[in-house]
Amino acid sequence: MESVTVTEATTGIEPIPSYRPDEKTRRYDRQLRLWASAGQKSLEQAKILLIGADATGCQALKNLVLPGISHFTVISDAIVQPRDIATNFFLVPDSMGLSTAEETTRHLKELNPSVEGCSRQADPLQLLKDEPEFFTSFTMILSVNSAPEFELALSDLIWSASDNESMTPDISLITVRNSGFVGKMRVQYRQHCIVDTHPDSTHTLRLDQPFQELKDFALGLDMESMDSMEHSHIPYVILLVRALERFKAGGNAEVTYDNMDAFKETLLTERRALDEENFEEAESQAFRVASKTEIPENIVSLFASSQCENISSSSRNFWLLVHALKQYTSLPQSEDLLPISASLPDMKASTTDYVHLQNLYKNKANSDLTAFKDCVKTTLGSVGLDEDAIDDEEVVNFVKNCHSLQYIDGRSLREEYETDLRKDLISE
Amino acid sequence: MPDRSIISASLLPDPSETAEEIAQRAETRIAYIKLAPEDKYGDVDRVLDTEGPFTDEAFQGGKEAKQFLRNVCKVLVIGAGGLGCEILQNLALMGFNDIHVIDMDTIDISNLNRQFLFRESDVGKSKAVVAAAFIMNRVPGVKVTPYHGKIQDHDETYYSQFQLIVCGLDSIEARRWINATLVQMVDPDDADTVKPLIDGGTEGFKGQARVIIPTVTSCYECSIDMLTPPTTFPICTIANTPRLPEHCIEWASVLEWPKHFKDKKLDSDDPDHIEWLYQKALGRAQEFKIEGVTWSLTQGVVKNIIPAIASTNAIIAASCCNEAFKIATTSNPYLDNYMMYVGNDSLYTFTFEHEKRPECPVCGGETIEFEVKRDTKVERVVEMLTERQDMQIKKPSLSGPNGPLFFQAPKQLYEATKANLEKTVGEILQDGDQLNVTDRALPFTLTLRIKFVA
Repeated sequence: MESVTVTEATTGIEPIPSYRPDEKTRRYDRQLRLWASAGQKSLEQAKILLIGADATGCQALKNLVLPGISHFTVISDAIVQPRDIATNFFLVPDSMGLSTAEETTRHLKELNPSVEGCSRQADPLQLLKDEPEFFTSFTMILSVNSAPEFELALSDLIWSASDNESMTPDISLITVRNSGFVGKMRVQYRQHCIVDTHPDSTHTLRLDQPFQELKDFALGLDMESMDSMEHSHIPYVILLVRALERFKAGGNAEVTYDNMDAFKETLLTERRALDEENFEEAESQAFRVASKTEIPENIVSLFASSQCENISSSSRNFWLLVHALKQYTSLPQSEDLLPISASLPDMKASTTDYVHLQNLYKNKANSDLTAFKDCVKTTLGSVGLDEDAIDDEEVVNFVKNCHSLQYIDGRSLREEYETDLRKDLISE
Repeated sequence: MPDRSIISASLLPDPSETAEEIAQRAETRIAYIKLAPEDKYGDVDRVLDTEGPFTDEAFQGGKEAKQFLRNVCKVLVIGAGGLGCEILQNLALMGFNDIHVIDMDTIDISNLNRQFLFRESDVGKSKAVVAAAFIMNRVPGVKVTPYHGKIQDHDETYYSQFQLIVCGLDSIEARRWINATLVQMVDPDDADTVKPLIDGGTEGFKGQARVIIPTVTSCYECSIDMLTPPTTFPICTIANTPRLPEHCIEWASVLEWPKHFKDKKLDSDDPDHIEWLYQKALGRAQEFKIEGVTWSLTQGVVKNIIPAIASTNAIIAASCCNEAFKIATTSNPYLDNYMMYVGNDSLYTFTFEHEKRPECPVCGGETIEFEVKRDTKVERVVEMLTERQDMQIKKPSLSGPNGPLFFQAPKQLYEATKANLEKTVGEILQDGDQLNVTDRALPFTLTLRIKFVA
């Protein structure tokens, strides 16, 4: 082929097509690859208050303004001193004698034009008495090197403002204290529910208890008539499912780590040549057949919690969905498991076999999703909500991540201050 | 006495500023610089004026430490990217007044989510130059000297002018180079030739910081086998049995691009090049019914993009700069010698000491023994070398006691030596012979001792 120029080969003159990232996506590219668009969306809903506009506080805020929170306010009644200029990157000699809140806000705003920044020159302690609703209008508060009495009063306000049931408003408080080479940080929230935890792997192969369609396909393959190319490209998932059937037919109830060698022997009876890499792969993945697929422990404990049991129309979507998930697991369709994941790891296989296998998992995942959606409707109906009160995207995302949901129960600063720590340690 | 012309030159004029306003700003700045040091540096001085429970016996503190930090110490920052911007800021605020910075890159829009010394109007300009100007404009009195280019442009004379080197790099090759250079520079009779190297690295929510005292502690090369090998796809998968969208993208970039564009090098920063690859990969994916080829994935695979966020960079850079400060002032014991930070699931850090590897090709004295069967072909030896975790090389060239055995380049040498690939090791080498390995990724010649095994 003749050499052509890149410009000739592409359409440089036409307007930028929609599949290309827009300017915002390009700006945030490196973080979107970490927390994806769902994470970015949450971040862009954050309204953050900074109390304590010192070097530490402003650096923390900088790292939130850069990725693109919605709004920040800096509150301080301090006036800029030479020492502040020497330590705080967001103050300059011209700031001397001016409001610390205003000057730091001005410089922090430069970091990201899409973030709204405000300053308030006031004494936080006085404001807490006069205008508590100011504090509860934020989604997160950073209190840096503030007086302990103030921190405690603030924490009480935030804690009591968060309704325990609906968690609205859901305000988290981060308190920070540092000096020299040491520092400490403490986070307060009533509860933290995470759906998208970005686990390293989302595969649920279920090799120990293959679903019907997978089993049918695996056992229906005519391996005898395959040529050597086809034979050496059968995906290991199929090989293991077949081996498990033969192993069971041979009188074994299940594969365990103890009878693994025997199981591998059974697996290799179908191998034709020593250099078949798919068999090599199947051997190295055989342990998956011995690990029992079940509902993960953290999900079981979510099912047992009172928030899952006692749902109401004001429950968080998270708990309504967990409740629906629990309902789902009692359906015959579920086989006592969570909905299957559509994802399949890469493996030695021909394209056709791999895509076919992928579709088996996808179809099963879709059918599980449909059953789960019915449970969501029933759940919502049972508390008097519209059956589409939770939008489809959220439901789909929940199912996609249902194996790795995380829930963290918080406690208040006051509780921590007033608990006898020694007693805690002893009882542990 | 502050020099007026230097002060004025360090001010970055705002487009809306009048000449008088700039002059006024310079005056304010001079007035600030003239303030008594204790009025400005009171906060930092606390750790320099008082001994703490962990303070080193050698700590002199007070005047001497301040004098060294603020007037003597010359520190080099390698990289003005995500970590580099943070490092420059921290060092300047800690009181390092003579900072040099090297970076060969220019500013891209995707840097702006974390490289906070750059603005949209800076896109396309040199990172080192813009970062240096920003720091000098913001932090009064600090001198930052930029160099827009490669670290390999400089020799030992250049590196010997610094007391400390702090790295915020994204390249293993560059780290290996600076590490080897600094180790080679050490003269055992002259303590001043030992230049502490502080190295930071991040990936998403994870990061690490380490202190390398050349020839004293383990060096970067000692722990090269700790690196996660890069994801590679076998050529036969790419060519014949694609299954993942990544396979289609690799097909487009590795196989199709050179076929269509002959000698034109693929530029992963050129959107037109990415466009071409994206279309090619998409076409192939559709043909094979593979889902998931997107523009963003194409770019990610071709450029090997690693997620990067402001906060992890801030944590790692802060840790690196704390170590730089502690080494420069002896105020507290420094990191011995490696800290990992993991912020994916809650927060976890762990510190441990990497040990020196006696057969480290950079700082160890012993030769690596290379076990091989006599009847192994040279071609296989080349392959074996690229598979070694402790070598991390891609296209090695080999020489034996009698000269070149196999060279990847230049072309003439490749032609002259390629016949050896088919020979066995036993035909051309003796047991105990030295095998010298060179590679683009290696800033040194790796010497192996052949040991024949059954």
